[in-house]
Amino acid sequence: MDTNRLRQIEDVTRRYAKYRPCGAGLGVLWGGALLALLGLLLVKWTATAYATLADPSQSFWRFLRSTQLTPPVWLTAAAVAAPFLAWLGLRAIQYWVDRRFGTVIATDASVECPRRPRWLLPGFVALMSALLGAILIWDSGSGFAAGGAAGILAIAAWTLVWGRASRDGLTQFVMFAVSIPSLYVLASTDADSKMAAGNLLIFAAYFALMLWLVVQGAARFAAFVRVRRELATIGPVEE
Amino acid sequence: MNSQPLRAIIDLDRMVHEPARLAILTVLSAAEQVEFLFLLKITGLTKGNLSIQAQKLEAAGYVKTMKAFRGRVPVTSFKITTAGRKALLAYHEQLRSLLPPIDNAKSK
Repeated sequence: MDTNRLRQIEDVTRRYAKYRPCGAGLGVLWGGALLALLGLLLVKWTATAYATLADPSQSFWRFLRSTQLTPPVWLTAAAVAAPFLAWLGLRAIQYWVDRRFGTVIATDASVECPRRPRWLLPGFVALMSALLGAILIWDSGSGFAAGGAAGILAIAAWTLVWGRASRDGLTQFVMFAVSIPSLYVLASTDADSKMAAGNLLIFAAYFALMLWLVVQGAARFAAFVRVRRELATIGPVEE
Repeated sequence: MNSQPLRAIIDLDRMVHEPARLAILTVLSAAEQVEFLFLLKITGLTKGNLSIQAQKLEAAGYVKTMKAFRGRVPVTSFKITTAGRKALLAYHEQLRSLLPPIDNAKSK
């Protein structure tokens, strides 16, 4: 058999396995959309609070920094749901991407997670969950924020699920970028919280990270489309 | 012509040498796990032939077959075994060692 042909199918397999995770990059769009939606809900809530509660002389930023604002139940529920929806959406997109040519799992984990241990990002999310959960319980002066603590616990448990199931760097970054801002929203559910301004800043930072991930996702998707095109043109081996 | 290359040709692992099986092993060597559908598309073999060749490779201990369900759909995936990887490497080595004597014979 032609050695060039063998080299070609080996190379195509390797590249297909490398570019197909995270829904061939499309999963980033889903994660980005969820984070943007959560950010918009946060902005809407703070803007409404400013319109109804603020002194006319107070600026928006000063109001957020000096007022005790507890996120409403709908915002808390959205924050808890975001990482769950992100992961389920990523799985659905992956299923859709794999339907034509099937699943190929890359041999070397280092191809997908260069220079980074596999459990680094899930571990960081779990650590943040523990820290923010502890702060929330410790700081709940005028009433224990049970809903927020339960939400943080749920996100921490969910981290084990996606951390175990995925070793792809881009997928892990998407889950990281959706989970951490959600944790901050949940951590501000105690009655004495003055974290609204901080939460907006955190969302802005993670949204910037998500935009960078979108660029990575677009590059991956372009590479995946090229591999799929090549795959479609490969002729049959002699039988 | 020296009888050494002939000996080497006779000694080639027939399980690996057959084009369809060589293609399957090559694909499997490039990944940790490969679904039947991908193998079907990249090799261009028919479903029946691919199944038969995969069974032969499994019987030789070169490939491991895994069956799972995706929803209600059964999905078959393959993995190359250590023995399969060794056999593929040995086959490549044998071919490489064969090429110079054959080239020399051609030039004479």
